[in-house]
Amino acid sequence: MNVNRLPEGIFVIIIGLVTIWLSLGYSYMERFTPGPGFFPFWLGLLLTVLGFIMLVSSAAQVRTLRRQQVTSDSRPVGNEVTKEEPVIGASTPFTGWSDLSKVFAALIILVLLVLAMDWLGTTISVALFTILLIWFLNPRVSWKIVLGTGVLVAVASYLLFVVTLEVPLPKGIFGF
Amino acid sequence: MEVLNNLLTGFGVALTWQGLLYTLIGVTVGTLVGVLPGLGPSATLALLLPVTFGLDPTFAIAMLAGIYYGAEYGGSTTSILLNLPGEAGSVVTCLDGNLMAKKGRAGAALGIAAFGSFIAGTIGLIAFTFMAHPLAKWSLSFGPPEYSMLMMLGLVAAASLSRDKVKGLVMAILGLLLGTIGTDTVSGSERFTFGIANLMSGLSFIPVIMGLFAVGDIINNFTETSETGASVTGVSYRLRDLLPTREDWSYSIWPIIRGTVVGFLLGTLPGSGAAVAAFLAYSVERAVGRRRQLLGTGIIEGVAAPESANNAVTAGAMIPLFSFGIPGTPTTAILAGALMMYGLQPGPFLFVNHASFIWAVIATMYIGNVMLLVLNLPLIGLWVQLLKVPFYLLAPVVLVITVIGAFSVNNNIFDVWILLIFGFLGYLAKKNKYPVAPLVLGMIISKKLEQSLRRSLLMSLGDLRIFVSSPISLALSILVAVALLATIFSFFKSKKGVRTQGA
Repeated sequence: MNVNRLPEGIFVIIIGLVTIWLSLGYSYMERFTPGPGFFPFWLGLLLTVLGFIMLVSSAAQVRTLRRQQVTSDSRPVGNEVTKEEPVIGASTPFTGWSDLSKVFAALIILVLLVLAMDWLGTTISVALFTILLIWFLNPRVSWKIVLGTGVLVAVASYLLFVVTLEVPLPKGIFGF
Repeated sequence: MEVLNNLLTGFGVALTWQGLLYTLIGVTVGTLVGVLPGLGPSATLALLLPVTFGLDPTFAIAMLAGIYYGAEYGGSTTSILLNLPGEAGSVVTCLDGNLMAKKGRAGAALGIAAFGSFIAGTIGLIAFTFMAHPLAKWSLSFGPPEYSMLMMLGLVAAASLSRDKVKGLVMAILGLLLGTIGTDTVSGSERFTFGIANLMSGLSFIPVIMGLFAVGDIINNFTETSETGASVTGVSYRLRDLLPTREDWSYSIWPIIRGTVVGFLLGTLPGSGAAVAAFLAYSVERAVGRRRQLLGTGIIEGVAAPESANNAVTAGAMIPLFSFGIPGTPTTAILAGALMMYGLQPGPFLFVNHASFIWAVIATMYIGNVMLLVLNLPLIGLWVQLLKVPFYLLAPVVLVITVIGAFSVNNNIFDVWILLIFGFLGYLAKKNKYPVAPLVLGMIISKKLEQSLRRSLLMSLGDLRIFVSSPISLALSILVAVALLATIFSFFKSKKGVRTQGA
């Protein structure tokens, strides 16, 4: 367990303050009734308070942990902490850079799908997307399975969404 | 009796061929996602929302509800056979269920899981049938102050059930904030739209829910090499081997009843899910069970109790949704979103204005439970085969459905971008252990909560004492205060926990 929540706390405070600032643009009271700015203002304030709670608790935990780690050599053997060991460190949102690159690669493939939909039409885009993603997730899969799945997913989604449910999906230059 | 009459009318709709068909599709898909690890009922419900667009609301909700309780049936299969919980409610079942399978008693374990689920689901439904309408009538007497406090209580309870309560609260408030985007219903002024025309009618629930649950989960799975490659051998799926013996029944019947009570009661509380109920039912057996010292060695009570509890939860969880209009679990929150999509405001007015709809949906749940019992035992062999579908084939299919589904909400590419943004946010939340359920809950009740708060203050001309003026609102206010104090207290306790750990 990572107890350092400093960046998260600061982030929450920033969202809270921005919300308060934006809500001041809407009227807080209109005659005797709370106006459109009333609810967002209080939400922003609550977020800011929660962010500070996170900061304070994080700082307190880090301090006690540091103290413990200084004296940790005197800890008796056999009294090991069975729960997740708290760690002081930068709180990184990712488990590693390879994960991050994987996630971004997947997102880029998704963004490409959405961008391609208007141009190539949904059906072809879906086929290309499926092929690209399978290849990205597991390059060892035989190309027959990759191509077959791509075509199958595209045809099935066309039949389900366009033919049966009549969703007006982007058609693109080929008209389907 | 009025209830029985209503229910009979409901069965009239539920027993039409469409009613039967969509209930069957719902429970079958539900079982399937219950079996498949990594795809939970919330994500599936979110996925299938757009597919239900063209349907009659009764059948659409019947199908979606079927997925919800069907998933709790399916979850036990992989827990027992592979020691791999299919969804969160079946984690405890692994303990005794898998040991039973190793002893060659997989059939009895699967059988009692199905029978227990059926008994608990049906008893829970009967309780729901008789309690829902009276509770709805009672909640109709609530004014804006009572409703405000009830909604706040639901939110705080949902938030406080996450492991880190402060994170839960942050997510709940972020959800409320997202719900304020768009045109303010009272004054008509635009809020947080930043000049984007697509935001004027507010942020659509469906892309946000699909993004947070389905896309976020799939992206998260990319980073976790989950090559299951499951193989199950030496298990007989013949019906004769699945039927529990007379001895099994005598050991299981009380755990099933206790599990039902625990599950149903927990289900009615906002925020508690199937996982909590299953765990608690197991703890109850450990405390009062006849063979409590043997629990954990592969005895049938260890399957019967949690599997009954996680099904009774689904019936109990319908009460806050249908009687009060305040969904308490992520799955019922999505159901609430679906109802709103059809222009049906979840809550007590359903019983007044849409009585035929609500009773038909309740009737389909009875039928669905029977279908699950009859169909699933013979199909267990097939479900196990389906486990062999590799993730790299599942992922693109799910993502394509989400993209097209998000598009079809408003036939607009804007919602697809919302889907992708919230997919990434859902992944970040998961990695940093921020619960997404309170956010969805907050977003869904945001408009209602804001309206009730503003109406209350209008009634009292700004006097905050209106929230403690009636006995009900006073009681609710006290509960909210206690829940909030408990949150703050837990934050002090966790500090102490760290301090004493090394000592």
